[in-house]
Amino acid sequence: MNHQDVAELLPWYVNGTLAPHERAQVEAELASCPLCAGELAELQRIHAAMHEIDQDAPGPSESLMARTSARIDAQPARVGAAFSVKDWWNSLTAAGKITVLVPAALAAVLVVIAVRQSALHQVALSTYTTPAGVAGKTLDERTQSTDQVAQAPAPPQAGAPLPITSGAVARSASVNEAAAPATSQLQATNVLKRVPLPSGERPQLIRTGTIDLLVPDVEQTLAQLQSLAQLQFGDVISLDDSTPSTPGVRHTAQVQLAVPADRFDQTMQALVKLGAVQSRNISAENVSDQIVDAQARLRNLRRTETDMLRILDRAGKIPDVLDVTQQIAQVREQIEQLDAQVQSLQHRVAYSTISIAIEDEKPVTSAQPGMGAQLDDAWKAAVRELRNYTVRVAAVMLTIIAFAPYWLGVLLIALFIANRLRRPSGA
Amino acid sequence: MHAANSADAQLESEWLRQTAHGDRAAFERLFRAYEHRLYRFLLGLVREPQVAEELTGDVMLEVWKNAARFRGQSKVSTWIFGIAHHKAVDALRRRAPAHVDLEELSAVPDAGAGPEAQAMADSARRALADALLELTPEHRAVLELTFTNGCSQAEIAAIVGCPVNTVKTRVFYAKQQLRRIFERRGVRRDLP
Repeated sequence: MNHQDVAELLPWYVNGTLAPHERAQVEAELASCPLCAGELAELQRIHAAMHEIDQDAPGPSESLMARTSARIDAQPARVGAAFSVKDWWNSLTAAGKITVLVPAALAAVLVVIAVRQSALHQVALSTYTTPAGVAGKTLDERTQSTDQVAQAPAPPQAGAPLPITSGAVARSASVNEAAAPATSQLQATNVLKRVPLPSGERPQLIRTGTIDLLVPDVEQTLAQLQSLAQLQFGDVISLDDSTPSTPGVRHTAQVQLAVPADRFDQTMQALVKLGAVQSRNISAENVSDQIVDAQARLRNLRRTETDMLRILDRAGKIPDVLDVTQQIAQVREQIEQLDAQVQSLQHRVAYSTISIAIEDEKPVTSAQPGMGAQLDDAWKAAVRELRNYTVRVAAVMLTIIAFAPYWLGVLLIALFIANRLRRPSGA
Repeated sequence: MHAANSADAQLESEWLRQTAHGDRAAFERLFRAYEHRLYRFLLGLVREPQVAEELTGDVMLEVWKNAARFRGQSKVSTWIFGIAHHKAVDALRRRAPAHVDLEELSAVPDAGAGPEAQAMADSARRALADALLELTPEHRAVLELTFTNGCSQAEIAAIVGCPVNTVKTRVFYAKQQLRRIFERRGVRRDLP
């Protein structure tokens, strides 16, 4: 231990809180070092003086205790302050404990069933229905933007905070512009901001998925896709919907979704349920090396830039200054390029893109479908709804059956207690 | 801490445990044991008697509210002083302007009007009291904890929330700062 180390320990040697081995080291140094001895004397004087100052200093006013008590009284009752769960439990009789346990177990089973139900409902919601609010909003936005299109060509939306969030997406009716609705725009809501980028620990994968679906109703599926995207904290980043007016041609649409990487699988699973899958493809590109490499180069370049700025401070002659400035500009440009590259990669890792091609099951018959076709559609829709409902009911029943050991047990205990309680009163 | 030898520390732990169960008498004992120490520690940092008193009340209210959360991993005193330090830093941060006029500070005790100054007959002690007023709250806190409250390095580190090595260098620099203040005022170097 050198003089400095010992000098740093001296304050605690003075107040007597050093560990024995430190105390021994300090004492050894004190015996041989007059500087340390001087420091010690000074600290001892400070110690004594501060103690005296402390003794002489006035305390808080006498009423502080009373005022604090009043503040405590004003506090809401403390949870668990005067109440101990352990003491309370020990105070219960055996019968009392059962009367507490049985409803508690029952409640637990009900909670589990409720959670399962809500999960089932969630899947059903994301697959089969569109929340009214979402559909309404989309419709309003469509109408709004149609007006804009009538006046002038739609300008590209600027200032989107993430590169993949294109501000607006075009939805075009390509075949017959006069009969079909005009080009409209959908404002991509900016829900992507909510999810942070994943950490650099895991392999950095850019995941993309494509899926081709045959669906009963393209319009309905589009609405479902939008609500699905919102449910998964993602967004619709492009939508191309072609409504044909000529009979015999099928209604098709192309949609691209961006969803947080950790919700990619969930989203793909939900998509499969939207219709008959024609083809499906998932691919992943590992860009860990690219990111690490670019980051390392970025660090080096930043260091170079700092060094050059330092040189610039020192450079005296104008040609030298110009030369260094030019080189700094080059380095800066490289830094910006690399930075953009890293950010773009990280965003692509954080958000997976899913391309969905939707095609109607049946071709468009005519602008005004006949009564037979309408009745046929209604019948098909009713059958489909019945099938869905049956599946849901069956799922709920299966859940109840699966949990039978729990609720049967609870029921038996409850019956047993009811019997026990009835017997004495009858006697 | 000097005021809390192991028997005292045990007693304080017991009071705190009873406080956690809502025992007002135990809380009162704890309050009496700490109010002066806390007040003087806080006064050293915030320098305004009224604010220091208010903060002392706040700290003890926190102790009442959170007594059940004390897990006994440190001494009761370390825990309470930790709360006090946190409160003081918070109050200093909120107070605008953060800068304290040095002239004004040194003028207060010199005027001899305050009870503190009157009580201090010894001029050396007064010189130190004046110099302490000029220190930053960080430096003042570590000196108070070391010399007035007798805390170990580890306890101070826990109270002010920094590594032990930082505590050591802070005390070292606080002492150097004191020396500089004495020299500037023309007081003998080895004062007090």
